[in-house]
Amino acid sequence: MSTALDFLAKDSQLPLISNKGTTLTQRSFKELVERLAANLAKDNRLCSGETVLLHQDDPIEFYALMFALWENGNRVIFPTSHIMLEPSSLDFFQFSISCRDNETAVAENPDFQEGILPGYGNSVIFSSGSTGPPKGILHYHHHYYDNARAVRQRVLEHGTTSLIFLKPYLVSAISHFLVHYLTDSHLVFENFNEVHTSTPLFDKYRTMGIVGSPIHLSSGLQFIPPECQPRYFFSSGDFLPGICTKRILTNFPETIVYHVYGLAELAGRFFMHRINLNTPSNQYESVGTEIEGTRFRCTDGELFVKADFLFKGYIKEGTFVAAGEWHSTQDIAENRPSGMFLFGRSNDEIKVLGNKVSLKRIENQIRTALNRETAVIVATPHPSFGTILSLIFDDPGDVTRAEIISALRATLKPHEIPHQYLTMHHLPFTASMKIDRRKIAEQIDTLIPLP
Amino acid sequence: MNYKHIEEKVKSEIEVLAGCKIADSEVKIFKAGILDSLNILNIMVFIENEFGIKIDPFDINLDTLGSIRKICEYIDAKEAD
Repeated sequence: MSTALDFLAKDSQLPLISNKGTTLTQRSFKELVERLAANLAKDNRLCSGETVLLHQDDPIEFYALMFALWENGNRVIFPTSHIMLEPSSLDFFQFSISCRDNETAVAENPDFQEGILPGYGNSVIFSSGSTGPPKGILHYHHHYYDNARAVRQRVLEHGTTSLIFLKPYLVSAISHFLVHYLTDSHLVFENFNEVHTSTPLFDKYRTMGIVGSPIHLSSGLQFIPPECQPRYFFSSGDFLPGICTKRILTNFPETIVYHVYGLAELAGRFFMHRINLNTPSNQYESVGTEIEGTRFRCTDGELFVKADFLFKGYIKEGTFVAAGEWHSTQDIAENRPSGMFLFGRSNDEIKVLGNKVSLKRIENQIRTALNRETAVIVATPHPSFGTILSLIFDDPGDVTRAEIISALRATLKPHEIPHQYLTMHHLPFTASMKIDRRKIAEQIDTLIPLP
Repeated sequence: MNYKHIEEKVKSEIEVLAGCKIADSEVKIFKAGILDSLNILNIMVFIENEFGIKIDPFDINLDTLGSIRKICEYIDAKEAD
C-alpha cells in the first residue's frame, strides 16, 4: 500500500495550488507535507493511528495536513465546520487538529468514545446531508489516489490552470486537487461570493478552466472576458443540465465540458463524459462511461457499483454499518449506447395521487422545457391533499404561471404538473453547492406566487 | 368575489391546464377527456390559493368538480359560508 508521500513523488517547480495570493509548487507543497508530518511524528499523542478531526478552512493547509496525517499513520475525519452533524456522530475522534502559519495545533476531545469505528479504514468524510442526515463515509486514503489515477486516464488536458469555488474538504474538491497534481496542473481556489473579483485571474490565465458544481460553472461564465478561451469546464457534485452545456459551448466553441458523476462512496468519480462542439446535443446529459477500476449494473433501473476503491462503511447517528460488495447508488439510470443517463434518485421518488414521481427527473425535464438553468421542484405535504409539488424560480422574469403550465403540459405527465409556482429570490445552497430543498420546503408558505 | 369573476378565473385556469378553449361551462371536463383525472389536484390547490378557501377533500370528487359551472358553484358556496 502506497504512503501519502509515495503519491507526492514529484519534485518540480510547477505551480500546484493557489489561495489568496499564495502559490505552492509541487515541490514546496511536498516540503510542507514533510514538515507537518515531522511535527506530528514528534507529538507523542499522535503516534499510533489515533483518529483526528481535521479543521482547516485554508485549502493549502487543509491538503497539506490531510497528507501529513495520512503519512503519520493517523485516521482522518474531514472537517465539519460547515456541515451540521448529529452530536452523537462527533464523539469518535480523539483529537482535532488545525494549522496556522504552517504550525499545527492539536486539541484533545474530552467526549471521545471508543468502539464506533472498526479496526480498518483511515479516512472518514461526511456528506453534506442534502438528502438526509449527514453520514460519515469510511475509506482508506489510497482509495482517493486510485480514483484520481483512473480519472487521470480520461482527462486529456495537461499543464492547465483551473479556478475552483468548492470547499476543500468535499470529495469533489479532493478529487480535483489530486487529478490536478497528476496532470501537472494548477488549482486556484476562490471564494464563490467573490466570483466577480476573479476577472484579473482570467486576464492572467487566459485559458483557465472552471471546476465545480453546475451553479459554479454558470455563475463563473459571465465573468470570463470574451477574449479568453477556457480549456475546459469540469462539472461535479450535481447533475449538469444540457442547457448549461449548450450555453458554455455557444460562448466558447473550442472548450471541453466534462460532465461527471461522482460518489463520495467511490472517493471521487464514477462516470465521465468529455463533451465538445461535435457531441450531439441529445448526448449532453449523458454522464458517459465508467472510469477504470469500477464495475456497474442496473437492476430494476437502479444503479449499483463495485470497485476496489469502494468505501468500507457508513458512520451514521453514532453507529457503523459495513458496506457490501455492491453499493446501491440509489440513482435511477439507463445505460444507452451513447453512455449512462441518470433520471433522478430512487429515494427522491414520491407519490402524487398514488403515482410515482422522481423529483430530480421532472426538474430536469422542466429546466429543458422552460430553457432555464434554475428551476427547483420541491414536494411538500398538504394538510388535506397529500403531497403537492411546487416549482420555485429565483428569477422568473416576465413569465406567467399560465405560460409555464402550457410549456410543461407537452413534456410532463398530468400528475407531474406542479401545483404551485413560486419565487424565491435567493435560493439556499448546501455546503457542496447543491440546492437545499429542505430549506426551501421549510419556507414554502412565505414564498411569492407567480401571477 | 362575484360569480362572473369566479367563472372567469376558473375558466382561464382550466383552459391553461387543458391547453384548449372551453366554450361551454357545463361540459364535463374529466368525463369528456378535456382534463386528466390526475389534474384534480391542480384544481384543488388552485382553488385554495386563488380564493383562500379550505377544501375538505371529503366534499369533492370528479363529479362535484366535474365542470366549470360546478367548480364555480362550489367556490361560490364556500365563500358564502
